[in-house]
Amino acid sequence: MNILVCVKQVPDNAVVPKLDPATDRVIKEGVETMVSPFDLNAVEAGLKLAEEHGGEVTVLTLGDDTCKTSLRIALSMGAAKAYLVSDPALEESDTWATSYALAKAIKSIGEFDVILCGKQAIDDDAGQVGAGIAEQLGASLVSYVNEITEVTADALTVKRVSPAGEELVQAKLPVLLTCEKSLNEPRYPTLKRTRMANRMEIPVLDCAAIGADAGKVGKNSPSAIKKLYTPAPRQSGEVIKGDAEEIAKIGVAKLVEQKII
Amino acid sequence: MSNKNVWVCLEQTDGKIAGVSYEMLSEARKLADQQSGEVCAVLMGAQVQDLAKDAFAYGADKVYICDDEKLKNYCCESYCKVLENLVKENQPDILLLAATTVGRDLAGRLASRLETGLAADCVALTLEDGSLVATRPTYGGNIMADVIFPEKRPAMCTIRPNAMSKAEPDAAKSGEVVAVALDIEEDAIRTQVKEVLAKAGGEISLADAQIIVSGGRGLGDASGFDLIREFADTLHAAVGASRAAVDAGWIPYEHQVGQTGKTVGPKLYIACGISGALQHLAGMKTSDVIVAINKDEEAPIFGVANYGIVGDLYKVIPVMIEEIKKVLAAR
Repeated sequence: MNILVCVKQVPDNAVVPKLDPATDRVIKEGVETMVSPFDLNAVEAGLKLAEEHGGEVTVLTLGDDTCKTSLRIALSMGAAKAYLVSDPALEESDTWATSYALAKAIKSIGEFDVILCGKQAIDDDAGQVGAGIAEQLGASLVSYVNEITEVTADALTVKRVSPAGEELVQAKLPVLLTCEKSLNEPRYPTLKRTRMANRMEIPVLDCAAIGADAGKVGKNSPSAIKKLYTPAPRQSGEVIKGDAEEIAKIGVAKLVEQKII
Repeated sequence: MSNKNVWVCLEQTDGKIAGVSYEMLSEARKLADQQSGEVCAVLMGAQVQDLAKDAFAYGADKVYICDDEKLKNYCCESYCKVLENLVKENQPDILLLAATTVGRDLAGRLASRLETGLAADCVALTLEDGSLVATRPTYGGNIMADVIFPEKRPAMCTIRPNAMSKAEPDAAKSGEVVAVALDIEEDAIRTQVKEVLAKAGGEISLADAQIIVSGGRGLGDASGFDLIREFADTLHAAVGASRAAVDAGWIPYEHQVGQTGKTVGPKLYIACGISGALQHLAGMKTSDVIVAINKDEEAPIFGVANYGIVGDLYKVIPVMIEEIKKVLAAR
């Protein structure tokens, strides 16, 4: 079973992101990075599938050279190969262009039975790239997966989060799954694998190498960010202190008064 | 040539229209009126014809209905094909879908196929010089982004439930119903719902809830959620939790509110024994009204709360439950 996992390197979410007033972009310099948490669930799911059903895991990301850090984390968890898609033309790509470029890269790397992504990256919070890749590859799509229940030679059966609760879905291979946090518990890298990962070559692919039309990506994306801004901070309101019974009654009275309940 | 029509893909489950669908219709009506366009709704499912009147009541001029037994459960390929055909034929200016696990799945695939822009999980839509500007939270709501769609149409957006207001329905309104046939080859269908696993008896989901009562580490142990559930039941609310409570194994992950859980924006959010870590605030701070109940007056949750009740939740909540019961009984 050939498995590919897409990961994204994002700023550490323990830090409040700040905007650079000059460029109107989120400041990334000097900010620690992390692999977007749901992508680690995707890596773990890929490794488990490979262990139980054979095959290997390839990881892929798109970004600048610093994003090799995230690929090495996936390698040190157990992935066999890693590729970085990097090209100045891809800067400011929207989710359409990102999924287009990633799908082109996947096609240029090889054939895969299962492609895994996190349900969304915790910086853009869009959750659209996985679905876009599935479409571009002509693969089945099941998003928000929280359990893989059955694996056969030509299909996967998985549970996904649905508006009504959960659904059990059977999908023909090749399939792209986007992963929920509850799918698994990502493993920690071992020291031995980390050493190996640090020595591994990570090929860098540009638009020409993957056959992506530079005129469709980056600044030519179908959508663009006009402006980023920090929302007005929420003001703290009234503090209610005192005897428990009294403050409970005051609390309810306030909610009734304001017609909230 | 695209027109100035605003389209809404209605979300329904088991013949019940989701609240976000009405919010989308109400918003679509406002946008369409500003640019002299029509509001068109798309309804897909099995035995859903009767729902068209609701769409008219909330502002649709026209409802396209694809009613087919094969659409009873959500199927990405079939739903996507229906919408693709309709969009290509009618060339709307704007297309809205719900930012749910169905709408986001469908919108992502469709936008990729149509080669058009898609803004996810939008909380506000405006028109500037005749073009859509979609506002969406990023970085867990710490940064807002205004997204534009320079050329490609339709401009697509998924809309966060509870973020936009619903218009008053007008039951007297009606419009044109257009029947659409499901036109997809059998072998193009690659995914199939085998079973729908509903939530435990009558539990309200976080996504739909108007009121959410959440518990955190301050509950002390798993049994604390008995009190949270009782509080929630009194208010017909959904039960949420902080990551700390989920990590402690007190309550399943599907209840987690926050950056690595669910993002919610109900009318009322009651945080009980939750300190308010950055990641938790990211998931709930757009709630209309926040009430915090916590012993620690210094807890960051009080920084975002409209009403901060400083006290022992085990003493405060039982009294609140009784008070609320009295209020509700008097109505």
